[in-house]
Amino acid sequence: MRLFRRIAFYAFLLLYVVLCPVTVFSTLGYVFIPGGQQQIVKTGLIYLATAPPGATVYVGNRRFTRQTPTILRELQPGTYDIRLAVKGHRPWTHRVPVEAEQATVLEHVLLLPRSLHPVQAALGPFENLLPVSDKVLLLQRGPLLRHVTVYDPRAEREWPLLAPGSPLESARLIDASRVPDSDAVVLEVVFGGSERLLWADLSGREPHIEDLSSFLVRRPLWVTWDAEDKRHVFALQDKAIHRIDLAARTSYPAFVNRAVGMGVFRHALYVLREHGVLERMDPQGHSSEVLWRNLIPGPPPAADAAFRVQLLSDDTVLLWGRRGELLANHAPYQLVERGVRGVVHAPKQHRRALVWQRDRLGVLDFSGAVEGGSVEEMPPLRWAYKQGRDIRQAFWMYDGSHGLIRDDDQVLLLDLETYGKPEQQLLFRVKRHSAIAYSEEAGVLYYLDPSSGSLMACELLPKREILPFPDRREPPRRPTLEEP
Amino acid sequence: MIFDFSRQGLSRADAFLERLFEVLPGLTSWTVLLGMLALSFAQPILAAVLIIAFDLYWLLRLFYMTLFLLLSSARLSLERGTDWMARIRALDRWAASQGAEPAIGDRCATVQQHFSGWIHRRQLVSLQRQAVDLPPSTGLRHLVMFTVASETPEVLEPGVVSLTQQSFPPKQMLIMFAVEERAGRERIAALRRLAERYRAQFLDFLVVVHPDGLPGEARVKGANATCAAREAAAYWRAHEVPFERVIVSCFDADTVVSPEYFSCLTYSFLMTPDRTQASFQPIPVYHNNIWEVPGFARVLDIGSSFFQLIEATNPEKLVTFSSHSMSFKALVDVDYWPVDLISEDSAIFWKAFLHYDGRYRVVPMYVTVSMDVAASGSWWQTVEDVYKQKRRWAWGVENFPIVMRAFLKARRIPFSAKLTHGFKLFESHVSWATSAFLVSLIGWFPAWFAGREFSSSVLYYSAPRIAGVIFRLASLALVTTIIVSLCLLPRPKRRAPYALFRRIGHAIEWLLIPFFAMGFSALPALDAQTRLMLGRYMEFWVAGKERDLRRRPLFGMRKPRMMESA
Repeated sequence: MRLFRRIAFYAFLLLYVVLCPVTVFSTLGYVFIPGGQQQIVKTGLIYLATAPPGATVYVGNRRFTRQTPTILRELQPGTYDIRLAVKGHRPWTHRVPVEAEQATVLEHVLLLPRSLHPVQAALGPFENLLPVSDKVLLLQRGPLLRHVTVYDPRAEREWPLLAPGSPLESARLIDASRVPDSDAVVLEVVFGGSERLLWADLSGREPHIEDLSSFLVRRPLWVTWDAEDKRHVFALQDKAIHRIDLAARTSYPAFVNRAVGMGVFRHALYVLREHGVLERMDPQGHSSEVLWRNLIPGPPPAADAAFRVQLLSDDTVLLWGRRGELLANHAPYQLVERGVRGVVHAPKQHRRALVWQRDRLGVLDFSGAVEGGSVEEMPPLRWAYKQGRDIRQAFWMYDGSHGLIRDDDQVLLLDLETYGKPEQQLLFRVKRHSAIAYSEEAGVLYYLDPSSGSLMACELLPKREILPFPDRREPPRRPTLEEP
Repeated sequence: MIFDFSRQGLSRADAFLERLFEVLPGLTSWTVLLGMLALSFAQPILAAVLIIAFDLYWLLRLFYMTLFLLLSSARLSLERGTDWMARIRALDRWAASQGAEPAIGDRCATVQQHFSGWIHRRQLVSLQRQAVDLPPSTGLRHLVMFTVASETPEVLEPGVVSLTQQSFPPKQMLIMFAVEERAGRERIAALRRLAERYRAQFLDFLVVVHPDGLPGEARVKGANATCAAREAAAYWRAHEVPFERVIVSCFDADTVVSPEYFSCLTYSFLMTPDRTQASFQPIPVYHNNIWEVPGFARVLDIGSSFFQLIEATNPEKLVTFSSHSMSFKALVDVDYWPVDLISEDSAIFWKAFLHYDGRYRVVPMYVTVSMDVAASGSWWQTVEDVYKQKRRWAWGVENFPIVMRAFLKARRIPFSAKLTHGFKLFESHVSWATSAFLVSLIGWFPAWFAGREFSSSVLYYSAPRIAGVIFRLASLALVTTIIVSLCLLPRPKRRAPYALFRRIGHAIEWLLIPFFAMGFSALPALDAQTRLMLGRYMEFWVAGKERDLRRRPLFGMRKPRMMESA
């Protein structure tokens, strides 16, 4: 037994001495090329995942044996023509770079059906739709509030916004303010010859409507609230923040003074002071804490200045002004001088946002800057779409890999996870001047049909897999956007 | 060499060395674990490479151990039918015949018996070559000691009954209850009555009471056993029995031996050339209540038995564990068990190894001794008991600093022996505390906390594939272990409902071994090493000048029974 044990020990030791370096180096991407070359080379790989999964993979003209999601391993550095195809869907073809020891990750390749099949969700004609949240939309058949209905996309039900006999029936709807992930909306209406702000909580079957005007002396520049706290509404007016306690039906005028901007996140109020100081405090205005100073360059803002404070992450803040200026607390600080129409934070992804002006849309990505990349090498804002006519809305889609844009009467899909130029596809034409709504959770786009005015629903993302592979906590190296 | 195997009464230099070696295992384990954790964040690529290298090492080690588990369990099955007494009688005849060819003794009807006979023949030839003196078995005496802290006679009686059923003549056995004084007068009286009931069947049956709180002693099993062994020495002297003809077996109170145990022990004793410089290690199994305990306790203790089975194939590095036997002469030569260490089972081996300058070994015996799985009434209490029991086992790390100190001074022990024994002692404890965490938990950290750099690397996508292959291969070893476990386990009692389902359930229990290994093996080991590292010793030390036992708690030993259970 002793001899056998010794032999076994040395055999296992030898096995380990041989296997360990071979395994480690092969895991790192080193492969031995037999034949004429007879050398060890560093390789890279391409990770491919598609929606829907099961796409056939072609590398050049050769068909790969496995379907997506899959990994093409042991690829020598260079570029590869990859084609992904699923029956009945538009093929995806790209030239993909591969670097030694690096993984080229394309984990959100969206393969749209060859022909999209929208279904009628609600019979029109509607004049407009107002996206509120994933749970509710507002549909407008005419200019008055009595023409507005609430639509639940999940239950596919529609009901009037106002109770029968409501005195607000003759109020004329002008505009609406919303907060992401909130089922409430603030409606700006003209009623009895005066402008009014109405708070509408749409979470129940019977909408709860509260007139905010009685709490405010004048029309505020901007109102906001916390999506998880429908009790407090904050209004910015005359460099002061007013708080309305809806539950107690009480207002606290100018409870924060010398403010030129605000934002509410995770039960905290963020206040931008005149001199560019950003403070965080509780909704009652207590426990104030200074987060950053000198956020606003140049002279103090004008009296009618108002900034929306948006947090991209715990250490990245954006200030979006009324004139469309966009500022940040990281270099280069002033991102856009004027004309920004919208900023949308990427869900589940820190430090990324979609930013658009009338004619162009860009991706704001501070992750490289925070990790040490210089502004020259990796400017945080890169314009991905520059041929816009009248960009009105934009949404993140498919875990931040795509952008959905309403440009005039067109809905466009922009592929942002690409190693080449971002590609756009025209999806639909929609009723002119009507908004669209998109639910990332359901992967469904809602829009008004240009001819009938009916509400149409179209599933853009197939149902998600329960256990995506591979699971990751932080996004991989993102493809560098090439400006078109 | 003359060496005081204790951590008490050290010179300043020795105390420094002792402390240094006390810190070393815990520090190494924590460095490995925290270092890997830190690397997972700071250098995930390096961490992933190290993890792959470790996983591969772990896999090969698993295969290596499984191979020897199979061989050892096969040998155990092989020797089940061996008639050890027939072999002893044949040895007696051979010794009496002076120069005749040795005979096997027992019949070889089956393939197993043939194979066992072949091994026996080889040993006989070896013995003949070495011209080893064979004493007659009738001249041998067995001293069987049961150490009792507070156990009831009901716990001890099955063990005593198992001694009456031995194939070896019980009349050559002196039985001893080594009882702690703190067990109480009633308990001691009950044990005396039990001894009286069985006395006639043995050479003698003594009850020795170990006074509580003797100066220089800790409240440990070794102190109790030493007290009884001194009484036994007096007994043998009085009866003019030379110590080299006495084999002492020190058992836990719940130990039940198989009927062939003392025959096998006597045979092994006779067949060992330097028999007075050897310990004899049976395979400890925990079958007494194996089907009455929660699944995790069952799997863990079967795992412990398997570990001993594997160790049995490597006698050069085997160390005594739990219930075992040895020459009484060696016990007296080394001045009995340490009276201030908890892990007296392994400490006695190291004492003897040092005393005989490395010329001491452990002879494995392919026969079982059965004990109880530590279990109390409730599930949670069993969790606590099992955890504390494993921590006590892992407290064997207390031997490391003492052994290392001795090795530094031992000039006569070959350097290679010091190196291999020292490394094995160190590596086994560090591995015990870290392997399960590294394989089951920390190995996944680089992927879980992958930053941008790592998640864009080839390694990030290749490592899970390699890990998958390694774990799939490891499952082969697990399946083998499950099969061996099902083969070696006693059947559930016939009347027990759903016996078949229980066995199937037991097979499924093994699938949770990664969690059991972390919670009830690695964690207690890390706990024990950390306590040693911080100088929080798991014992109640009775200082030489103070005898106030009430004011100092029994650290980590709330239940005396735990202290005694193996």
